Amino acid sequence: MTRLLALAAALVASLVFTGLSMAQEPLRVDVTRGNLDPLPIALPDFAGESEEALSRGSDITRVVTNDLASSGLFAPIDPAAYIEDIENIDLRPRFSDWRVIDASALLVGSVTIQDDGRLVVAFRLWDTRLEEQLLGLQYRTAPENWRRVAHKVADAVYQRLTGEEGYFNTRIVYVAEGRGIEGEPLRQLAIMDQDGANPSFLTDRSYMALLPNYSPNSQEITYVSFLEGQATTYLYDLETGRQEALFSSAMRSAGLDPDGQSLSARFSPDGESLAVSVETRSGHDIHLYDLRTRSLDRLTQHPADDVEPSFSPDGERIVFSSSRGGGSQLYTMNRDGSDVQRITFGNGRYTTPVWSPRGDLIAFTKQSGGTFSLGVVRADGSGIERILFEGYFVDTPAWSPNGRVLLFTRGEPRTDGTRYEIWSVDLAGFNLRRLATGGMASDPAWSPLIE
Amino acid sequence: MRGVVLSLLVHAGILAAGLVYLPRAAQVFEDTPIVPVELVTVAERTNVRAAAPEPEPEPEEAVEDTVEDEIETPEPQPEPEPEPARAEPEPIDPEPEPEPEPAETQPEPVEEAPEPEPARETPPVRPEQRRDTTPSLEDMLGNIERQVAEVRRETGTPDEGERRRSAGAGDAMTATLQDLIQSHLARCWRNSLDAPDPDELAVEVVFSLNRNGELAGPPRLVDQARVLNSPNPYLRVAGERALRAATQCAPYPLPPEYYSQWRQITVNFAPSLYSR
Repeated sequence: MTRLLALAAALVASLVFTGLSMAQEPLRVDVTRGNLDPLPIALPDFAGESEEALSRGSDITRVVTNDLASSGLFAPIDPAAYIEDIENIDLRPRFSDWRVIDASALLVGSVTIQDDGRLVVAFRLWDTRLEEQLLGLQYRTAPENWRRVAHKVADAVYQRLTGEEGYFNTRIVYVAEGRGIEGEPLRQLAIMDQDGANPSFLTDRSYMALLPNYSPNSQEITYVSFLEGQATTYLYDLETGRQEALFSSAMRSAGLDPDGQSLSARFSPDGESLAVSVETRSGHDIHLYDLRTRSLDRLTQHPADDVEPSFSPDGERIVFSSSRGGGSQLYTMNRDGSDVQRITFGNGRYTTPVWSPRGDLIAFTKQSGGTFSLGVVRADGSGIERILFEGYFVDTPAWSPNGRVLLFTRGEPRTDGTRYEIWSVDLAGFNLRRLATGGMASDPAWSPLIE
Repeated sequence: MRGVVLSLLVHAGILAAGLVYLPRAAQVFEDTPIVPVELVTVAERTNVRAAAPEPEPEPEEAVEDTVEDEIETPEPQPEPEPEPARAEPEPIDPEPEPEPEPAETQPEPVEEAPEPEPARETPPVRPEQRRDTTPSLEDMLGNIERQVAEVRRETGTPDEGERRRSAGAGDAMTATLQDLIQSHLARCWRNSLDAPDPDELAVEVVFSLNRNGELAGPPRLVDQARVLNSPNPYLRVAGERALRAATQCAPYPLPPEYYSQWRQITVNFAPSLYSR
């Protein structure tokens, strides 16, 4: 009898035990599906002590809001819904007030005007779900730089919440297209902030300027001038306005026709050399131009045209387009010209390759049949190409400095001819937006992040 | 001898009864109309324990009354009541204490900004979260359930829920539970698919739930320090997004009868290109 009891007890004990261990072992769940929805963020106006500081605060908030919204990754919440009134950013916000309007992030800030007139812009970024401060920074600046500070705030928020560098404190050089008095086409270089503010012209109407490209320190650009049918590459110092014609003497000393075409010079990532396609006796070939020694090094020898070189971000390889395989296709090679590999194989003409700042992708435009498309392909040629945009005319892609967004020239037919505008699209093919240029525009070049 | 006779009589009786009854029983079987039954497989192996007899509604009723009173004074747990009182005046820090004057527009880290965490002073942060809005219906239901369980335990009323949990493997429901949790979390989780190398951005979050589906405490990451201090900013953000999702998705609408299975959950958030 006692044995029976003991047996029963053991049975019960083991049952209880398994029950307990069951209960303690966590349930495992794999979640691979999620959303890519923009993050809801609340951006109440930056606070300030004085009238002037308050109005500057709301200016800054407007710029930050616009920046974040334009990225497509954030959904600013209508200020009319805000419940808590943020007056002091050094107090902990009432998170429930912000969660209830569905804000996952909250940016609060303040503007102080110092006695010497300088601005102090301080801000804190809060996670309303985890109830933690994610970031707290302040900037001190001359009052006229308030827009740059606003862009820096937006960049900091963007970086903290996405993990990647922002791109708001940047400028864009482009070609403003217009018509002269007699209807002749005008193409002038212009520069503006990434959000369209502070536009100004860099060149005058006396000649056509095309195809600008930024230097890695964002102080210089290269561009091509067309004067009386003659294409010349110039180096333009944005600080001083000084211009310098490149290549002519180097071409002469390299035994080339100094009046030959030199096109689409792009900087190496270290800023010390340019890759450029130069006209030789056997068509165009890629050359490397050393900015210190002012000498040209020929990298390709093929009889077919090799044009439009662009460096990889590590400076080790160069992508270019070439008609050596028949139609125009994309190839990569080492920076000394060795190890040429073809990376596109589709139908159509592949042109204007630009290496992504992230390094993994190469953007291109493709003409096939009657349509143009903007696409990306992996830098090693593996996988399939991804088409981000298709249209009547597409040209000159330019990467944002963080490699998430592409600018490109888009042409649409109108009764009075093709209308050219600059548009942006993100890597997923979403968030298509027109860049806020005044009139017709083309040939965008995106500056690196300005320090 | 008498025993043998008795035994014989009993056996004979049984046989006789069988002769009378069995033919009728067979008929019963034959006559029973065939009812088409659709078997709905919940999980691969269904081994839900036999349900204990339904409890009489009586105790339930009674309990509900007492619960109603209970709700009036909302919090069973002793907790720092006044939400508003604490929200307002907690200074984050005497000042974000800026510091040196950087030339033009140098960013200066605001002293790892006070990350004041006043919440820490009074221990758990969570309870307040549950209460910061007026209790939802689900909250109340959850409360009721807890109350029921407590009252029963105290009064010794048979609790079929408890008994159910104590026997059988209890894993029959897991596939469906996982589906429920997956689809629930998909709404709250911002996938890091658009970051470079998303395959390397998988993170695991562990959290415990109360019976009403609310978080029993803040969710935490497996390897939290490694993830949040990672040199790869995308991994850190992926970790934060996972924590945010686990928090934002509470309360979890899961069947309370399987509470033992989902009391603790480990979620592996793994961005994958192929299952969007």
